[in-house]
Amino acid sequence: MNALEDKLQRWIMSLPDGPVFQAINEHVEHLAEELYCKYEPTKGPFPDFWQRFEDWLENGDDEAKQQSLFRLMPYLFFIGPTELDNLYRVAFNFNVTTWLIEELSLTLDDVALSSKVSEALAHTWFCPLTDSMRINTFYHLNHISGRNHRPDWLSLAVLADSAKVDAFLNSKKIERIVLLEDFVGSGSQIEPAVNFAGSLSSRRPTLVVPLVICPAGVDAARTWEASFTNIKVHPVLELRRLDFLTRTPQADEPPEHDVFRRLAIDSFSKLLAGKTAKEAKIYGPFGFDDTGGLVILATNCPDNTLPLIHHESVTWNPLFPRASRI
Amino acid sequence: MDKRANPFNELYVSETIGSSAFVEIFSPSILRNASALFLPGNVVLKGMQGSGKSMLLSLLKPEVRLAYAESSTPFPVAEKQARFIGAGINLTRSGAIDFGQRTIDPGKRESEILPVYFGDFLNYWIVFDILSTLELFRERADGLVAKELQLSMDDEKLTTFVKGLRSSRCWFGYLNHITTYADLRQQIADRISQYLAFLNFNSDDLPDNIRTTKTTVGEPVAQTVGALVAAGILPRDVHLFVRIDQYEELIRLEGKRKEYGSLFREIVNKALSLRDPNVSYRIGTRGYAWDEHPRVYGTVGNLERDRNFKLVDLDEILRRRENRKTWVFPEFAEDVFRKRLLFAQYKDVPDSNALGKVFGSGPSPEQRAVRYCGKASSRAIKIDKNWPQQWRTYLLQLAERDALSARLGEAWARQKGKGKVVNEEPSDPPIWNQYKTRYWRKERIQAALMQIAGRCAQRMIWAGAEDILELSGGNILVFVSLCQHIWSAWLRTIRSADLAESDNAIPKLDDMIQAVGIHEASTHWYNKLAEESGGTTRQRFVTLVATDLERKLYNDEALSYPGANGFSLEIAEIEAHSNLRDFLNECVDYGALVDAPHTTKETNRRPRRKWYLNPVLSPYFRLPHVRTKEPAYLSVKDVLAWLDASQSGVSRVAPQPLDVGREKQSSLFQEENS
Repeated sequence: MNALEDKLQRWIMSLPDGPVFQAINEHVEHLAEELYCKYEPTKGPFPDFWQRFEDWLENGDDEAKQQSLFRLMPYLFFIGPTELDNLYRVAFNFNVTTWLIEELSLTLDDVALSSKVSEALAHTWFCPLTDSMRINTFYHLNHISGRNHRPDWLSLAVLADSAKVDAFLNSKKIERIVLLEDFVGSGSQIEPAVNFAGSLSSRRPTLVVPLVICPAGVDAARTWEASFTNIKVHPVLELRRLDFLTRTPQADEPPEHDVFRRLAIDSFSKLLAGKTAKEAKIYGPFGFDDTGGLVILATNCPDNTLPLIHHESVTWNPLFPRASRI
Repeated sequence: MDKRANPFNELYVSETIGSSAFVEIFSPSILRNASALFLPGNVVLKGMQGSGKSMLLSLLKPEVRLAYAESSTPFPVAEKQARFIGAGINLTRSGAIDFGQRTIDPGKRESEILPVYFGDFLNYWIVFDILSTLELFRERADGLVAKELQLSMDDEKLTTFVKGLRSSRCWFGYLNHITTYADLRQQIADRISQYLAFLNFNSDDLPDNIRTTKTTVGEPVAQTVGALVAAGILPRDVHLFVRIDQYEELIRLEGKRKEYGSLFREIVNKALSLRDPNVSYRIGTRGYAWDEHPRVYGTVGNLERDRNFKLVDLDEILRRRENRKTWVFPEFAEDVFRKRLLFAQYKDVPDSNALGKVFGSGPSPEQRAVRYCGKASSRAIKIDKNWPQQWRTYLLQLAERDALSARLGEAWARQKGKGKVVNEEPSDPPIWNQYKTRYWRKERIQAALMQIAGRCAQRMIWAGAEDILELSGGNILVFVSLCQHIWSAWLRTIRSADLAESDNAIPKLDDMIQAVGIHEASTHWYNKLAEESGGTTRQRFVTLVATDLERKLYNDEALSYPGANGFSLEIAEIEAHSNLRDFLNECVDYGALVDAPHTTKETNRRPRRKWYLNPVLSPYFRLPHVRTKEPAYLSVKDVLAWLDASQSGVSRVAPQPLDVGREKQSSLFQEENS
């Protein structure tokens, strides 16, 4: 019998928490088969989920800490490839379409509604905000055609000349722009791109569509809308504050969050393994901007997510290792 | 074979496997207890979900008969009893339960006319199925079954059959213009299609030629068989068994409108009342759907048991009695288990005792106690502050060697009339381990183990073939579910192992793996309680009952009432509270509780009945499943408190004054001193 199962059996057969561990185990079993195996950064010659899971639990110095890590599992929000595809479809069929209807002051009882929306779509440019957004998949799933150029606007903000971009928009008869991003944490990463879009002299109506957004990102979105009258932000999926493990306790948070908070803080030194945070390329026990995220995308783990989930050091094994940009 | 596949993954095989797979999976062990199924006369096959009803009724299906003929496995029904053809209707899949979702005749009272249409639909469906059965026997398996039954379907006989059939008055002229067999078949199919189209709102109205030719339930079926016999197609000694599957769905249909009462069931009951010499009905139903006095549509009469139908109660047949040797379920389960392993291509599956080979005999009570205690055997016992030091030391030392014995010793010392043992020189073996006290010990082992486990913060261990059989409670679905969960738990442990293609030997499963799997299965069955109609209330009720019993049993340090993992009520008291009686019956029918007559020990000798949790729920609630000694003697007031709380959604009942009083009173029941 393998050591992990031996350990889980002991936990499941103990009281008073045996039934809880049993339920968590069934939850992990189910999701491992349906979702966790689809985590892209670990495809190929990489330890499988169960090996990583066993190693990750072993990070805990004692069984109590290991059990705390285990208890964290049901709180993780894993967005798999099918879920991402569905987010792409909802973004197009709902977020973009309703925005167009509002922009064009169309009414739902207009018999020509469908053709007017189609016409509007033909003059709309769909682009990613960063290169982590799979824009080609978005185009394919939603059967959008006719656009050869799909630059990410974060790169445009650094490399491009805004006058040239305006000229391009005019030459291609692009009347409006939709900028998509898979995950927005605090919004600081995409802010330069949003600013660039908002500052174009052509002031095309621009819709920013984060597929998944954190509460801090929602706050940032409101300031962008206030700063640029041509920009609207319509996220597909807004995460709730209680879905995050924040440094400061929140009212009505699950009681277990306190244990996880302590775990995140206590384990940080093992994540650093003698380095500074900058050297280790992690931001703090609660992730970038202290977001305290518990989200994992099938494509990668955001750096807003707790580093104890994704960071690797000589003294810490990750569960969903992150493919870092920096 | 892929060793990672779970041979017990598919629970409801009768619905999902094809006929050829059925031949490999079906266990004939239970046939001798259900032989009435293959004899003329109506049979109602009653049983809980998973009792094996559908598998037994499948033997009546032509496809299954043919699958046996096409395989090397002989048909499991004895030759003399195999002279039958089967036809039937599944009330769900046929669309019959769609009656009631649309008004058929606005000019008439729905409750008067709807059942008539329902009965007419049943008739035509079954007649069509009879014809399909005969055609199948003629066309498949080289006509082997047709030859065996001496069926004869040449064109001339078919024409004679059609002429004879259409002349019957029962069709009210619907078949008057039919001259050929092909036309007959088409005419019947058309009628069924028109019904289904109407019920699915694909047509606006039922045609007039249906409205004016409605048939009386059962009559066309009898006439069809009569005409087949008269035409020489069907030998006189070949009987027709008509299956009606999912009878319990009619309750849901009736539930849609109160004014329907039990009308749909009464229509089916009417077919049973006809008692035709050539046609017998087979009703598969769950207990809650079969009334004790089933009414017949259009009359004030009821069906009479043994006169109009025989009742085969599978739950009763498979239930364990006092004498284990008479219990038929273990052989049935063993056969199902073996066949599943063979079907999954495991090799070296023994011809007998496959269960024992895989699951073993489980740890002994002493071994379980040791596992619960781990290294801290002292946790198994609670020392009374008034006990002399010598006795305390003795118990603690005994706990290190034999924790179970130490616990029993603690209980012995706490019992009335036995407490002097704490001042005596301990005997070897101790008095509670001697031959003369063997019954006292035997009756308390399970409760003692429950308490040791709780004191040591461990969940109880269930493992071994015998535990699995007993937790199954005589239900084959529960048994397969237990195997499924245990197998899953085992597969997890070999997840990372490199399994050779050829490694298909059957495993021997560790006790702890079994224990984890059993707990998972128990949780699954607890969650399942809420699935069916009224299930949430039953689940709450069971939770309240079990929690209360568990608390009392755990706190019974003297082990005075080791059998109180169930409760008993006076029958007269229950009968005076029909809502409680009906609710408890429902709990039994839906598999939340099991019940049995209770031989009272009270001097008033008033008849009683006792209830226990469905055994598979015992692990979830940390209660022993074994029934020893006397259940808790309760009054209706106690149980009504549970019922009221469960119906109002309260999660616990405040302790009753009766509990306190009972603990202070002397016991009516002397401990047995053998």
